[in-house]
Amino acid sequence: SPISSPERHRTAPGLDDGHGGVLDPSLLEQDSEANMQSLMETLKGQFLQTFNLTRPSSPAHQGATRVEPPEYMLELYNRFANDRTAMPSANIIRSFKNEDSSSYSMGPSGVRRHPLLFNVSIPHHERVTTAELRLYTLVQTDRNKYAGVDRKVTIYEVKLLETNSSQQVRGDDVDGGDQASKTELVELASRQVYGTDNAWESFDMTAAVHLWRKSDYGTTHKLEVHIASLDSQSVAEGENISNAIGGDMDIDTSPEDKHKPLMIVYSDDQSRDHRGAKRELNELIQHETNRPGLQDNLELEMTGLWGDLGQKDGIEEDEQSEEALLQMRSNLIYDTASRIRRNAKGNQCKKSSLYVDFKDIGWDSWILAPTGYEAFECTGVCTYPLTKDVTPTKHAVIQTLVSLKSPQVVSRACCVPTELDPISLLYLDDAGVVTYQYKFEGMVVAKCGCR
Amino acid sequence: LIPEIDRRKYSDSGRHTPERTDTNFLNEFELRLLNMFGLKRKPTPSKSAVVPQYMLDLYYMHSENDDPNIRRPRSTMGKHVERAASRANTIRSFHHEEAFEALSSLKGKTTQQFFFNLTSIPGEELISAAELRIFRDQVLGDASTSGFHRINIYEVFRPALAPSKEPLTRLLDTRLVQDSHTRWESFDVGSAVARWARESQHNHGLLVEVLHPKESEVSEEAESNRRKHVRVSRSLHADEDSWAQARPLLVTYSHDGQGTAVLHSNREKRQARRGQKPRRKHHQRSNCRRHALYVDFSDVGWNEWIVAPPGYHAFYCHGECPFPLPDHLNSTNHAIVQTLVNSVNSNIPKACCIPTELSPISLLYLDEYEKVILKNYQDMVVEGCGCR
Repeated sequence: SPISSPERHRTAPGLDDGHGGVLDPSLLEQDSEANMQSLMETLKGQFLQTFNLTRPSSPAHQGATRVEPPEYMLELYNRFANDRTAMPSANIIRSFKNEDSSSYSMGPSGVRRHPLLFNVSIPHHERVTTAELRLYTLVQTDRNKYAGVDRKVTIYEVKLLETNSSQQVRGDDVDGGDQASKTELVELASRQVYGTDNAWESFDMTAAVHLWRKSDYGTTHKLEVHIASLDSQSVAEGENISNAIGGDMDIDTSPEDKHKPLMIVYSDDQSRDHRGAKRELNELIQHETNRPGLQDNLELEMTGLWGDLGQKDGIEEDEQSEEALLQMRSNLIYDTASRIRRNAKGNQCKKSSLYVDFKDIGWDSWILAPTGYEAFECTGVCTYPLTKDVTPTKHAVIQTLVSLKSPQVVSRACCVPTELDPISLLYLDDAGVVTYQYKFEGMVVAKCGCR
Repeated sequence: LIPEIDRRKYSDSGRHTPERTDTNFLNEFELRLLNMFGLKRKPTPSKSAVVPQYMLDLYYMHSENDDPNIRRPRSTMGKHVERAASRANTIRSFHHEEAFEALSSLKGKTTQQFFFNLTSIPGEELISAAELRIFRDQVLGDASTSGFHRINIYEVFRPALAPSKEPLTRLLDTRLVQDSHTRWESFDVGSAVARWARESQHNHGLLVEVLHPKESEVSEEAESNRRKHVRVSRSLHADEDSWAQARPLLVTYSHDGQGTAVLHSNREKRQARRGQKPRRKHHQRSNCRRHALYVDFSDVGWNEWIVAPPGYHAFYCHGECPFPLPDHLNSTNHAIVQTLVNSVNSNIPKACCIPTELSPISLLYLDEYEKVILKNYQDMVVEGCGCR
């Protein structure tokens, strides 16, 4: 262990290994032997955590390679974030990538079949409003003619049959034999597609996603995309027509390409609901732990703490006095510093500019857009007398009066945000799903006040 | 409301506000403070201001005060207002205007008219109940001559057109009482008072009629004693010292639209407080949390107009908003972002530890008209702290 014995902590301002910043200052408030034991364990954990030794990040959040969001999601983000008149019918939009990268197979009569796999996981409290499957069609026209390509595109869900007996399966495109006895294809959507150039096509999956959420089959679903010519019913005739017309249509399923298939799910988390807000908060808190600046931050606080501890060595005091001293020390080290810094500008409590670049705080690894935003902050002094502009509570007024009379008993009220606004975010959630949230609450200061 | 010493101290530092005179600024602030507490003028109670014992009893009955030395009085509230009181957050008390008294005492019947000035009730308050409280004093004398009295309470619709005529009245409440008991009687006058509050021009007061039975062979002394049983007039008794506490009292129960009721919220608060204690022990000492703070109203110069309590436990928030912010510190997304920014740029202050949950207390106080009011005041006690 890089950490020395407990006794040396009381006298030395830092650790022998030179990593004094690892300590969490608040933990040093506990003086008993038993607490020191748990303190050592906690310090060890914090030390390892600082250097990312025990908790590797999930691959989706590795800073090494930045995840490029789907083109469609960026378009959605720009549309709603820049145009205030555009109001999405849902406040959360997720995009799920195809996880089956195997190539297509040819069925009877020249029907092309593409397998797709989507892991569609939506929190239970959210209500799905719409879902769509987006496919990028590759169109190859006949040079000799100027007509487009006409195809029938059908989306099937591949379902496992519960019985072993073979059944007559609907659809003319399924092989007999082994496959027929194990799976069946359920048609989800079908449409005739006429294309003259490569383009995105969309198929409605809303009913299917609703069914999936109700079923107990889990969140992973197999699909097949069948692309058939319009005259596939006649074998001989089909061949002739195909040769005569020329041209072809397929979909792009290459995993490296930006045109890979997408399942887009639009949902509403009813953000007035407390659970939704709590989930947002937990998401942010999780991202706090991966911090490069942790060491520097703690080191500054350590210096003051060790100094205080040294001065008090060997002094006996009763519990009540100790509590008062702990509170006073806490006041000197933490709260007063924060309040003094807020007072530094010498102005009345008010809102002031604070632009947050997500790269600076390490959130660019999971926030895809925007790159930063104007958060604002509350600065200034809550001086006596508090005026209406700072909308104080009765308690804040009374605290100000008491502080005026006895500053050593209680400090002044603090200038803090009293009203917050949301921003739109495009981000990777913990499962690596690209998610758009129209109103990510509590991000921008709208008003400041004394509390 | 601003202590005199502080007023002078603030004036000395007038250079901070060159745009306006200090006096005007302080007056403006005081006006806003009064408005926040629901007052129009600063209460300056005179020495003769009387606080009815009933209001003190109500205060101790409903307050959160856990002082075991104070025994909670048994409720003497009328049954008809008990339900309504549970929905009120303000209780006001009124003595009648003695200048408008009209006493008439005939053999077997005593009538007295009372006028109550209700102009101090704000227009936005909704009155849910009102009671007229009248004190009855035990009649001592021959046991064989003890008797019953009928007390009728009328609303005066129209005053008497001539001294010799009767006013037009409507019966509100009636009660048959025995004169050998000493106690307060409560009469339901809610319908009349609610109308007066809405349309003050209809306020012509109440008429109290005491009918005591006439018996043959009763002595002159016994007759005189019976007229004194129900205390409706100062002049009927030589004992003026007790009149201040025994005179009739009108009590209104209303809600100003803010917060919860006096009775209801205190119950919830009591439950919540017990549940909170175990959780608090696990918090880190230096982290943001609630600390004890007792506010003595005399320290802030409010003891002159606040009758009870003499002070209260306000608590305050103090402590570190550390990085990363723990779950229990009830943070906003902005506070998390600001804490992160502070961790890479110490010029940006950390989030601040402030109250995030506040609860009311009951105050018994004198308003600017020297009326005694029991009111549930919002946002007075810190229940929870967080980083913002």
